[in-house]
Amino acid sequence: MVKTIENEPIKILLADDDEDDIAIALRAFKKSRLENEVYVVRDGQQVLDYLHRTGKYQDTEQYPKPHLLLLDINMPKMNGQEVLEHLEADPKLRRLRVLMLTSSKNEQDVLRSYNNGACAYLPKPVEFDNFLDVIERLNCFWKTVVYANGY
Amino acid sequence: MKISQQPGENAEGNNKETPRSASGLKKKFLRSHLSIAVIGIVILAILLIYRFSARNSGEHMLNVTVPMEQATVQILIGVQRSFSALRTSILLQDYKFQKKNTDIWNNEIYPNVKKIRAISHRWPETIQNRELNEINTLLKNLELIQWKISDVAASSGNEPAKYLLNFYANPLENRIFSKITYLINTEASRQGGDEHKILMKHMADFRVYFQKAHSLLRNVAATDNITFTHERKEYILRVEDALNEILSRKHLLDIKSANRLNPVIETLNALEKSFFSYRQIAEQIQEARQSPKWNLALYWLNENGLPLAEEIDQRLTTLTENQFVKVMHEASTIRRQELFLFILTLGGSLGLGGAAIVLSRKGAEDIVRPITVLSQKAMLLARGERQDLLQWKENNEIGTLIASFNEMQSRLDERTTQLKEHIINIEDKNKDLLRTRKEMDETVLALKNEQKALSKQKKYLEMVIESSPNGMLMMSQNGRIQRVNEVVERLFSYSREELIGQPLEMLIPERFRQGHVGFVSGYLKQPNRRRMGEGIPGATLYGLKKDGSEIPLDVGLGYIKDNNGIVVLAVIQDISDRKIAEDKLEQERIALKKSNLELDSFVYTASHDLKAPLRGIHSFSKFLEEDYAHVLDEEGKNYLSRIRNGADRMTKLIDDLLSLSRISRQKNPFNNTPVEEMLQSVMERIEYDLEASEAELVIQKPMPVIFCYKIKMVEVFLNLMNNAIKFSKKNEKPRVEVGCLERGGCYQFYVKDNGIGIDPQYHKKIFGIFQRLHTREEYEGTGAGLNIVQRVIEDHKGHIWIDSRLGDGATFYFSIPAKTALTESSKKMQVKA
Repeated sequence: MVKTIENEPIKILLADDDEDDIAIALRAFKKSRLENEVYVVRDGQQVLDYLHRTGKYQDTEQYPKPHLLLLDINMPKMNGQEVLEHLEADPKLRRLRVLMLTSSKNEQDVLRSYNNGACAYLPKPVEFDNFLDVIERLNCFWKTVVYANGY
Repeated sequence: MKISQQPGENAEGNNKETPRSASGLKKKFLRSHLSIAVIGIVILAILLIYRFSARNSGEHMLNVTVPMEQATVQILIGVQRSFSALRTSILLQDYKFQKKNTDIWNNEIYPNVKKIRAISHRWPETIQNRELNEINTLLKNLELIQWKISDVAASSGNEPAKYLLNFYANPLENRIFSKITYLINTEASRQGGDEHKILMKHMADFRVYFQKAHSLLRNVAATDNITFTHERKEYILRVEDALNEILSRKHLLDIKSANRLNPVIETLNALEKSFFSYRQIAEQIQEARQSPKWNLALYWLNENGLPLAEEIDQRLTTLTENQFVKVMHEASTIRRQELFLFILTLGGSLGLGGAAIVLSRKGAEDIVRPITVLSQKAMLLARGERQDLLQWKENNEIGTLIASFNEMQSRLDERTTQLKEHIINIEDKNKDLLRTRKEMDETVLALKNEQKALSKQKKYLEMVIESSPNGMLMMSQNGRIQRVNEVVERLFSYSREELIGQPLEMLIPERFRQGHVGFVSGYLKQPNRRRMGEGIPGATLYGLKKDGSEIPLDVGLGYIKDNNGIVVLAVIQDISDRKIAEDKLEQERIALKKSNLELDSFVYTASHDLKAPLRGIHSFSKFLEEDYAHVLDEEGKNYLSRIRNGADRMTKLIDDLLSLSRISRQKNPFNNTPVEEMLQSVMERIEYDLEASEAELVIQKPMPVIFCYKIKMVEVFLNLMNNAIKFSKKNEKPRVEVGCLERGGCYQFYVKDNGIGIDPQYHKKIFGIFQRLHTREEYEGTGAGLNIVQRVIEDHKGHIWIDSRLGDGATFYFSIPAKTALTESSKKMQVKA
């Protein structure tokens, strides 16, 4: 099980519009025993609503502050890149770690994500193995950043 | 020569001719003498006319000047006397002076005015007439004022009278005096102002100034006004000046009796003496007026001043009268003398003229006679007749002439003989000359023929220029059009008369003109033969037609160096049609590019959308296998694995499609890339496969550096090497060889394997997209690889082919141009970038 340095399980916000992909990801999280700590939104606008605690996401018990955002690039209303740009422009949210999810290996998409402050890139589908892999690779970096920022 | 053939035939005729020519000479002589005489007479006549006019001026003096001056002086005296009478009558309240005043006006002033008027018609200037009229008017006014004054004076208190006197009468008097002075001066200055006139002028001045000074003295005595005092002194000084002038001309008064004391000189001396006494008395009066004894001043004035003034007046009048008489006398004397001189001169000149005629006639005859004889002889000699030698005893010019004639005759004999010989010589030379001339004529004819040929050639050349299908324009070094052909006229709709001599810029649209001027000067510095606008990619030249529209042009430039410098030759072609075609092509190209891009982006999104459900199929079938293996039998597991494999294959197909579309979408610049570097990255990517198949890889080094799009080229090597390993024989370890040969400007690469080989009938087919020759069970793959390879090679302007037989391995060749051959395309890429 992946935990933060304070021994608290990592809370993950998953943003994806494809129900299949969500189901696949949830299975991976379940296998990582993260199931209860995963919160799902269906488009870019909802991501911002969740993080800004507007609309139905005002309850901090039901929708706690996430440690990590898994952000799909292709989404309705507002795509992943646009969400990233918003986060980057907001001083309160810019420290949130973002993993980009994408079905394409399009170099430009990847490059743009990194430029906008994404800290990793995860090809879809998000399955148990590759997800753990990425988390593991981020681990060292993870501890320091999360600890330092009290996130 | 001709003359010598007819000796003496016309001798008599000649003799008749000779006197005539001699008399011609004589006439000439006479004529010249006479002209001199005539000039003399003319000069004399001029002198006579001058004399006559001088006589006239004497007459003028006698009839106009002297009487006029006399009259004016009389007027002056009259006015003075009238004033003095008036003043006396006012001051002394004595009416007998009033009577005297009237007499003066009637007997002295007006008659004199009448006198002047009588002679006024002889004045050359009208201005004097005007002055005279004004004087007359002023005099009348003065008389009137005087009467008024005496009237006013008759009533009690004489202040108004004094006022009138001072403010009306005196200014009037002053004006009259100044005008009369002006008249006298004008007359005095006429015709060079002779001394007598000047003397008379000074006498008049003396009178006027003295009168002024005296009247001021009276004022001084009466009023003790300081301005009068100063003014008076000034006038006294002027009187003195006039007196000095008169004294300096004392000798004019009476020339004959200048040495002994005659009455006139005595009068002058008396005048001088009286003036000095008067001056003294006047000073005394002035001083007395300023002292307490002022009544003494009036006394002295009446007792001494007035008599003295009158005395001076009288003496001056005497002098003036005397002078008038004298001048009249002199003038009439001069007139008489001049008449005598005139007649004498006339007579003398007539006598002179007569004498000149007679003498010159005789002299001419003497000179002409021997010359006549000589000329007769000379004429006969000229006709070839020998003459006897002439005799002349006088040793003068004519003697010399005759001696010379004799010598000339003997020399002529000598020369004639020489001349005859000479003529024979000349005739010989003439023959030679005729020959030479014939030769020259032939040469000239030849030259003319040559010239004809040249002009024919020139016409031919001109025809070539005219009939050229392209426009031809010649521009001289100063940037002006020198010549055009018909096509140019048609292209720009100008006639050639409108074009020739004009600056070339008239054919260039406004926006290019500035640049064009610079271009022309640059070209003239370094002329060469080329297309205009060369080296400027995509540039189109435009010409400006007469109606202001523009046409696209293609212009070739050349130049001719001649004596006047460089002539630029432009060959002009209307490329409107070509331009339209090019534009259309360009539009189509853009449309095609756009539709290609659309297609690519369609493929890209379509593949994405296709992949999403495949992910589901793959993942969920996998999850079923993993999570529910215990409830599925073998057959169920088999189905599941088929589902998953199908989905995997589909994913791979779509990925290939994606990478195909990505290849066509990415337009990264070409670069010089070492092939070895690319092979290295390929080997890293196939490391696993190489190990797994235990393949042997041979790379023939050194490999060249090629100009290519690296990522694509890596894809080529990767695909070919992958295939080489993949399609190996089951029982043999794969061996792959990569190499490069340089062939005719191209690099020819090959990838050779010892694999299963390809039947030549499929050699073409294998490059089609998704073409497979084997089942997936035998060899994996989507069949897109070689298609990708081919497209990349074609993008590099190369081509690919295969050499293989079934079961005997395969060698894939591809060639791409060596680096330099691609530089142009690289340039294009850079421009686009």
